[in-house]
Amino acid sequence: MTGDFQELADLWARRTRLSREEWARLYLLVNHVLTVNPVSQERAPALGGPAAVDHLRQSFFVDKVLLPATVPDADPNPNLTLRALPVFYRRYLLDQLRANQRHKTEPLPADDDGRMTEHNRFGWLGEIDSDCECLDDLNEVDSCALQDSARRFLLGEQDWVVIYLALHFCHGRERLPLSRIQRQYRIASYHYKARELGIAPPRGGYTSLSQFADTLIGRWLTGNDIALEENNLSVIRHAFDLLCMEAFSECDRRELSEQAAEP
Amino acid sequence: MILLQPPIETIERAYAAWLGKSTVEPVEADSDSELLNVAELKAAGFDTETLPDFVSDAIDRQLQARPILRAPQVGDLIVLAPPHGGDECIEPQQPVAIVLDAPEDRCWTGWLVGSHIDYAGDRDLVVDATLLEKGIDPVPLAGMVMSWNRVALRLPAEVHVMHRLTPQALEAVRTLARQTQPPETAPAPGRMCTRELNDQVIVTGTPYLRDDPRTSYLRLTRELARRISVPEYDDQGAQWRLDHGDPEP
Repeated sequence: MTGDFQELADLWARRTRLSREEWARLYLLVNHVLTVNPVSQERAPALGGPAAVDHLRQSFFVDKVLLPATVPDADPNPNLTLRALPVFYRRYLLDQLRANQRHKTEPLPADDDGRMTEHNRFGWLGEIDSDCECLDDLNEVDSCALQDSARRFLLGEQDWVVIYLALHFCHGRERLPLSRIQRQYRIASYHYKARELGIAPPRGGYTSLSQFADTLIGRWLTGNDIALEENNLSVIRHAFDLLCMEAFSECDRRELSEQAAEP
Repeated sequence: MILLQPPIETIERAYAAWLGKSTVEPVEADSDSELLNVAELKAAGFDTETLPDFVSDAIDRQLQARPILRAPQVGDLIVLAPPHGGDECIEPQQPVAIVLDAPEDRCWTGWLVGSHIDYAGDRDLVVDATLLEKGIDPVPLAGMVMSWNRVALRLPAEVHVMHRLTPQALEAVRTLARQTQPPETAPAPGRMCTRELNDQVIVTGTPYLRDDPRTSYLRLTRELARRISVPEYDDQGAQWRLDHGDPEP
């Protein structure tokens, strides 16, 4: 047994009492074991193919390593053998494959890790950088009324809604990660709120636009008679543009960006 | 239909030791021909900032609510260690979390706490910081209080307490537990909804459908609550599990 594995085994045995740095180290070591000892099911097309690997490993780590390590000195499984991690991981992936087959759903989105940090602005609606689509539909949209509606919507919402939109959802590739926003603005239940707003899809992703209707943004859209349908994407994107413009203005008006810079 | 995560098989395996199931077969001892390639086991960097948000957030939540060993109190969200698996390398088993309602005779009554909120129904109260006394985000284990899933168990003099529900949150659980009519929200497995209860906005899952994909989770967690409650006897009438730790006399 090498010293490297000894370190992993030691962290594993003590994992109900690790510091944050030790947890980070354990994550890196577990990830490394899974990298150098690949499990074939990891790249199954039904699970999203190679692009979904990171997401699967992260979920595995949280579900099977972190979550069971809650009660101090009561670990029923302190001894880790060399073969164990890939075996646990393969079982985990087989469960995922069975669930996929049972539900006959679309494969997991490759970039879904439960939030939108690596998504494009309209990740699940399509690429923001893609060619401009035909905007004929927009002739039927009263942009002024829609922008007024966006302004009223934001005026009635708490700071976290404005912050999430202005600094994350609308901020393109330079957006702040949600976890950093949570730290800087002390937003309680920040991930739940991101889901509630509609900027973090559930695990597995939205399977249709209609499922977006229960979010704050979804309700704002439907409240403006904007149908959440695949053939209405250009109108939805236009509405997002107007909402984002108002979010930037409201963020400035409330001086929320300045608060982020304060220690 | 949203794919519920994690799959029910994964959850079942995580509770297998509690349920007396044999789906956690130990991994065989290493043999020379099957040794892992550990030569490359050198993590490239040691920078906590490189952790993915999803993992980093879960670790932070776990660390900021380390269990405290103390006497149980009403409203405590406690955690019970899974049955010991011996010296073999079995798959990690999940602890069970419970919210304590009231001491009764020599037992405590309470509700099972689930960690898999994709499976939440309309009587599962989703836990967030506003429901907890210190106002911190709950540990990943504490996803929802199952107001329909009552437990009664004997506890040792001191238990591992992770959180404590606010009085309002505890009352919300009790109200949900008494609620027999489902809300008007449409059934939607995997989705949550906000509702007003006792002048408080709470988050729950949605009502069940016929042939609901959450049914297997409901059965599994009901069985789990039965297993940890007292008294518990096996088919031959032998007591299977009575106390969690050293019981009070």
